[in-house]
Amino acid sequence: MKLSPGIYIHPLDRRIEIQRFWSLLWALVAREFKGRYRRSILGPLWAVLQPLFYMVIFTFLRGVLDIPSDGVPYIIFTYSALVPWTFFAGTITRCGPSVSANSSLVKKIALPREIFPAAGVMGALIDFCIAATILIVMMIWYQVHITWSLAWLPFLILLTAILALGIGLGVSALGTYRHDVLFALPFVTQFWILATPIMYPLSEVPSAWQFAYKLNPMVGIIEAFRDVLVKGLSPDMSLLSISITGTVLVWLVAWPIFRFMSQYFADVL
Amino acid sequence: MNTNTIINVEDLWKQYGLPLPEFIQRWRYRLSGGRFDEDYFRRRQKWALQNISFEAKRGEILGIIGRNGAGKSTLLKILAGVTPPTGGRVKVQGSIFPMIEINAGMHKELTGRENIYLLGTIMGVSQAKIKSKMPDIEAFTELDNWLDEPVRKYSSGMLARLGFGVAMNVEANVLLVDEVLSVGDMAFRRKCFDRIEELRGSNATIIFVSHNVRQIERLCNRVILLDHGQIIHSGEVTEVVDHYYHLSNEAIIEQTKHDYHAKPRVNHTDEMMITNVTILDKDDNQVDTVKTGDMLKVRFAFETTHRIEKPVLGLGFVSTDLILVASFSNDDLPNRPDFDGTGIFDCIVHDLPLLPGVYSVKSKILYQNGAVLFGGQNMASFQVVIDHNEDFSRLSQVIIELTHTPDKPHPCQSLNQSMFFPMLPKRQCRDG
Repeated sequence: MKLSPGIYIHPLDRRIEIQRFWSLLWALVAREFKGRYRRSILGPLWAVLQPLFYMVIFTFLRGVLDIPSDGVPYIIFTYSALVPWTFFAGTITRCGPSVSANSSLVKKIALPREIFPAAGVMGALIDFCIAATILIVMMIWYQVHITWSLAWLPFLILLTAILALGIGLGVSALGTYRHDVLFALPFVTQFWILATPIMYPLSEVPSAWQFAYKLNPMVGIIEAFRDVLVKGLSPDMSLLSISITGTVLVWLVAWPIFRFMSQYFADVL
Repeated sequence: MNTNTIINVEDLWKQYGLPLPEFIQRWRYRLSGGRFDEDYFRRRQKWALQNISFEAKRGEILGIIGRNGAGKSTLLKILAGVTPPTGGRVKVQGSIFPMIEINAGMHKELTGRENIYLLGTIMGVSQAKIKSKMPDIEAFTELDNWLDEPVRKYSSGMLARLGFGVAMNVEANVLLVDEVLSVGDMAFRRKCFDRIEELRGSNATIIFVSHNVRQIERLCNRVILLDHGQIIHSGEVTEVVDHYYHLSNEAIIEQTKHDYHAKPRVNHTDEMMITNVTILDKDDNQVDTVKTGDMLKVRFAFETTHRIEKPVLGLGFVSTDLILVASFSNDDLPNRPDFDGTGIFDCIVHDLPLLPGVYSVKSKILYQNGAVLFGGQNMASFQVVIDHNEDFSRLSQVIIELTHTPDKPHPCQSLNQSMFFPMLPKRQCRDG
C-alpha cells in the first residue's frame, strides 16, 4: 500500500521557539554540569587530568623516540595542542550517546533534537575552559611571547566547535540507531589523535604522505592553535581553509542525515 | 477548519521505525543473513495506527480507551509531535503540555524547586512565567520543605505531585494525559481530578488516556475506543465505555476458555477444603452464561476432616475491575447445617441482580466463632447477559440492578429483598 507522507502541523511563534531552544540548551548544560561531578572526589579536575595524562605519555615517548618540537618546550608544544583536541574529542564522545541518554525526554516531548548534541558541545566547552587555565599557567611559566595573534582564538574555538558538532550530529544520529557507532568511537578518536600533529610537528610527516595527511580537518585547526598560542604567528591560511572546507563538507553530509533520522528517534529508543 | 477545533486528525496512519528506501532495506536484510522475499514486507507492515480521524474542540476533554497495545500512547506521541505520522494529516494548535511521563527531564540531584524550573523550561514555559506561577505550584504540590531537597529523595508519589503541580498551572492549550493519575495518593488524585474538571470548558483541550474507565466516565465529554490501532467506537461516553467493557469481557471469556484465567487463590485450614465450584442454572445444568433476572446456583463441593458445627458461609461476586459487587451470607439463619466429611452445598440466587459482564466467585467460610475456616477467590467465573428484547440501556452505567417495589420506596430494603439467599444443604455423607 502506498500512502502520501504524513504531515504534522503545529503552528508556533518562531521567536518563542528560538528563545525556548536557548533556555532549554542552557537548562540541559546546567543540569549536566551540576549533576555530573556531584559524586566524584576530584570533580572538575577531571577536565584537566585527561590532557595532562596524554601530555605525560607523550613526554615519555619523546624521551624514547626523540621527537622534535619546532624549538618550543615540548610540554607546552604538546599541551597547547591537547587542550583543543580534548575539546574536539570530548564533544564527539559526548554527542554519540547524547540522544540515548536523554531517551526519556526524546520519547515524551517534542524538542529540536539538535539540542542534545549541542549540549554536548557546551559541556565540552566548559571542560575546555578549565583545561585552558593550566595552559595559561604553563604559558606564563615558560614565558611564551604573547602577541596579537591570540585574537584568532575565538574564531579557532568556534571552528573547532562547529566541526565537532557536525561530526557529533552524524555520530549521534547513527549511534542512536546502531550502537556499533558508539563502540567504535573510542578507537576512532585514538586513531585520530595519532593522525593529527599533536605529539609531533607537522613537519615530521613524510612529504609523500603530506597531501593525504592534510585532508584531516583537525590538522589545520591544531596547527593554527599552536601557531597562535605558542609561536605567536598567524595561522597557515592554506591549511586552515582545508579545515573550513572539511567542516562544510561534514555539515553537508551529517546535518541532513540527522534531520531525517532525528524524526524517528522516539521510535527506536 | 473551525477556529474552535484545536486538534484535527485526518486519516492518520502510523508505522514505527525508520522509513528507509526499499533498496536499503533489501540490503540490510541480506546482511542479516535472510533471504529477501515479499513476505518480509508483509511482516513489516505492522500498523500501530490505521485510518484514525477525529477532532477535539476548545475546552473539550476527550478520553481514549482501549486494551494494551491498542495504540493509545502512539496516538498521544503523534499529537505531542514526538514521532511523525506515516500517513495522513495531524494539526494541533496552541501550546502542548504532554503529561506522558511527568518525570521526564527531571534531574535527580537537583532540588524540587530547581526541577520545577527545569520542567517548565523543557515544556516551553518562560522563566518569568514559572516564577509568577511558583506560589500556585508550591501550594498545589503541598510539598513544603521537601521542595528544597534533591528529588532523588522523593517517593514516586511526590515526584508525581511535582510534575502535576507544573502541568496544572502552566495554562497549556493542549494537555495530553497518559495514565499519570494512577500514582499519587487518593486525596491528591482527587485534587487533580477536580483541577481537570475545572479546566473543562476553559481554554484547555485535554486528551485523557486511562485504563480506569471510571475516571474516563467521570471526566470526559467524549470517548474514543481504540482496538488494534483502529477507532472502533467514538462518541458519547456511556456508549463507548459499554463497548469497551464488552470488549474486555470477551477477552476474559476467551481466556477462561483457554484456561489461562486466574487460578483460584485459596487459603484454608487443614480442617476444610472446597474441592470444586460449579455454576448451574435452574435445571442443574452446568453453565458459564446466565441471564440477568434468572436463577443462579453456585455449587460447592467440600471436604472436611471432622464435623464442623454450623459454619457461616459467605459468597461474593467480583466484577472485571475487581470490585466486589455483591455479597451474601447465611449468618442470620438460625438453623445452619453442620459440615461433615465430603459433600456439596448450593447457594441459590433467585432473580440474579447482576448486569451484563463477567464475574468471578469469591467465598468465605467461617467457624461459628468467626475464625476463618476457608477463603477463596476466583473460584469460578461466569458471564451475565441480558435479553436484548428488553431495554436495559438506562442501566448501562450501574453495576447491579435494584428491584424496586412500589410499596417499599427505600432502595436499601428492596436490595435486601432481591438478595434473598437461602442456603440449602443438599446432602451430607460420611466418609466410608
